[in-house]
Amino acid sequence: MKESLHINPEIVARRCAVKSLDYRQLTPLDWIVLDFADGLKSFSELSRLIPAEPEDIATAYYHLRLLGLITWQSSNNTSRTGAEQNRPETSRSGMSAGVGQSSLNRSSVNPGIATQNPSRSGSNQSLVGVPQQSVTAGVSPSGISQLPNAGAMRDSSLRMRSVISLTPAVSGYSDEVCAQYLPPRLFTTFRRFQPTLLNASLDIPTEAQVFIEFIHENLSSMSPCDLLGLPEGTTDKALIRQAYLNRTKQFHPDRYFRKNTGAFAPRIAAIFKAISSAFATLQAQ
Amino acid sequence: MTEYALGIDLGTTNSCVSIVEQGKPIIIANSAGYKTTPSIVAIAESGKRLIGQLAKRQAITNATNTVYSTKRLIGRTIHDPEVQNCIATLPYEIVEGPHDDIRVVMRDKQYSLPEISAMILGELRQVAENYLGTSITDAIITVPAYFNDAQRQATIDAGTIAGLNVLRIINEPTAAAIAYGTQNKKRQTIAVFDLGGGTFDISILSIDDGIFNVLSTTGDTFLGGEDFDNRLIEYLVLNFAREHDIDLREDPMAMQRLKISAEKAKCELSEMKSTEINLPFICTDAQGAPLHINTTVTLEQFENLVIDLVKRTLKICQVALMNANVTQNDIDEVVLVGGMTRMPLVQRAVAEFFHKQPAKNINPDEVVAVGAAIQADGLIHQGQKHILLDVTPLDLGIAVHGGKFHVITPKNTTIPCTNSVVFTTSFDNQTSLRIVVLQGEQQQAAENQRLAEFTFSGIRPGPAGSVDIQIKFDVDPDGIVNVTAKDLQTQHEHFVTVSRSSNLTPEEIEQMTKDNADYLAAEKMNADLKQAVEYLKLSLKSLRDLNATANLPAPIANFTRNLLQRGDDLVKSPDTVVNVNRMTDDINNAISLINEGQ
Repeated sequence: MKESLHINPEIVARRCAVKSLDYRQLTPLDWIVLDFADGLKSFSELSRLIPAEPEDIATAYYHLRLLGLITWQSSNNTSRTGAEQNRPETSRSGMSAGVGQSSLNRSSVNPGIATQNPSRSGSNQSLVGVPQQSVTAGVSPSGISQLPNAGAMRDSSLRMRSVISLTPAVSGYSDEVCAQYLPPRLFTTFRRFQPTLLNASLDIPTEAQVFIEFIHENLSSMSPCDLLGLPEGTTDKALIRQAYLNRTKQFHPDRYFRKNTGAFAPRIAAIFKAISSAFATLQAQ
Repeated sequence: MTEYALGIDLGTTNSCVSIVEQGKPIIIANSAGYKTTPSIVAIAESGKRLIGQLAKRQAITNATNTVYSTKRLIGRTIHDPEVQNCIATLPYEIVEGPHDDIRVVMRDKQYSLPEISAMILGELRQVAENYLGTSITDAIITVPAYFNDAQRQATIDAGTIAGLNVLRIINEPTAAAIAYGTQNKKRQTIAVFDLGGGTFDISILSIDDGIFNVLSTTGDTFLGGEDFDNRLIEYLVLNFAREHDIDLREDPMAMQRLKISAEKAKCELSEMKSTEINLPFICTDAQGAPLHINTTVTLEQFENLVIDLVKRTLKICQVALMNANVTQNDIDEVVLVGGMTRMPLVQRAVAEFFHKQPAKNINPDEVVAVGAAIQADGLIHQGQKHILLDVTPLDLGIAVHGGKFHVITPKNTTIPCTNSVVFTTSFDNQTSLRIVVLQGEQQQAAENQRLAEFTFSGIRPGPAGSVDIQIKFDVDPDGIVNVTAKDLQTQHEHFVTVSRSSNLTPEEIEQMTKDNADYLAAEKMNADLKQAVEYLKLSLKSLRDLNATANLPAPIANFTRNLLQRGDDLVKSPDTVVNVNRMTDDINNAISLINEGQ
């Protein structure tokens, strides 16, 4: 996860509503927690959404609280959910898989939990902009993560609200649009993505800019099928070929010949190279 | 204003220029009315450059100052055995340049090969500019697919010297496929068989929804129409030697005449069963009596002379199919490119090999330039409709322990691409590593072309095999290779761009560009001056007539006489266009004054 996390100091500074805050104090995980804590959310939900060790999340959480970026809120209308009560031992296997893949939706979660707490789903949608089913899609039901060192936070009656309001940048893209660039597996991750390079003065459509940045950020964790937008395990040569041709049209550097592509130029080239080698890999199978 | 970009097929024997005008590619005919221009450059006694038809016409009488077939030499070093072969057969003088490169000599002046190509490119550019009436600088130049990096770079240099902005260098068979594929839009796999004047290329491509995907490409840079000519020349020389015991090869003028008639005979044999070669007074015998060549060559004789060359092309086709992982039956269409494919034997052999008749309605001389123009137009204008996925023509790699060639980017890899390999140090406390970047297909490092060499120093000392060094090859869409060496533990890295190293230094290229521009400017100045003098003459004539007919008062008559005198002097020895034009203006003013006075 450390690899795929790219924090642009400038953007961080811009995002910091509290001007006096020295943004360097924030670790990448702090930022993620901050992003997800945007609005009302219970701690257990937070730990479910973030693919990191619960202890680390707790640390980040306290850190943010100390800095005054997050406040606690007591909530009376929620109680511990069944799933939390029946929570098995801490499952780290699911966690580490999520960390390795850096895909946020891979965190180990019991899919039941989201639906068992109706009071939460509303805030969830409005805050992160992700429908409930998207959050739980593709998640292994291996058990809920526990927060062994943060006993106080196990109580979901504690809720938090981040002080800073963040702009949900890419949540607006429909599944159809996403499908033009990504396999369904990555839609959720994508919708949580905060583009930092958007530049209206470039000769690249905004939509393409967002997807280029996202794919580039996640290149190392994308499988050949992901890169071509195919479901995992596709072996149909004709399908693979068609997908490759589609991707070529989107990402071949010649598409932007003599266009002003700024910081995107090397990213487009890198993506195309990855797509080419993904195609070669799949062809060779 | 519409932007134009040239598509230039810079051939061994003939070159061709095309542009896309209002969405349609057109071939532009030169001032002599031909759609192809001979790739021949000569310097006349006056020092004037002669290019194309003009150069070809005087080649016999000015053999040592007429340069042709430079494409066979471009980007090579003087020590190349192929080059040494050429030196033996070519009538013009070839000398060694300052960087092991090749220079040709015309009228005691040395020219690098990119300069020669630049003259041809400049001529083609002029042809297009005359047609369109605007200035054009953007161009795509085609090269044989099998050209290596140095040859491609030398071609880019030629474009630079000619004042062109080379958008890209593309492969000739690929260009032909683009021209073919934009007319025949269905999804298909095609083979482009390109037998040109000096080189042979075969490429297998798939065309699908505007994407041209090169599956494999291979060829031979020393197999083309000129080899067919040479077979015929050898045959004639041998027969002549048998008959008269005289070796014509020692006589450059006789060889030049033989070359021209052999080429003509070859072309005629594409349409006729036999042809006559008639060269009177080819040389004199020991007693000074004139000797002639007067013989008939039949198609069968000629085919027997060259059958092995044709078989060689088919062997290469087999390799191309294998590399593309397809068989003859997967090929939907065969496209023939290059003048040599007009030869019936070649057409028969290709049809037999691919089990199908080659595509008709394609002009083998023009299709490459058309494809280049379509690609150039696509690149510079919005809405690129087709995308070209080309491949690396040769293996790229580095020299490793034991003098072996370690391939990092194999040939036929779609570009742009990135490949990397991790190496380790071979002895204890090794702190630097010599990296030799090579291109070629031989197993021994020394037999491949050396693209670049650099030392990666600052490696962390450690026991042999303990330090991991990643060598990364990065090929961009223009085929330019970047090499990065990186110590994986310390992240210390060294980055080198390989392909910007041609046989010429940037300063030399700059100087040559300037020389070329100066020459062209002087040429233009001469032309402008001539034009100005013509106008002056006309004005002088009017004034003289007026002076003779009108009865002018004495002071005015004196003034007019003086003006006429000065005008006549200037016509005899014109200095600058500005002065001549000023004189013309003065005279015209005088004429209108006199006319008003009456």
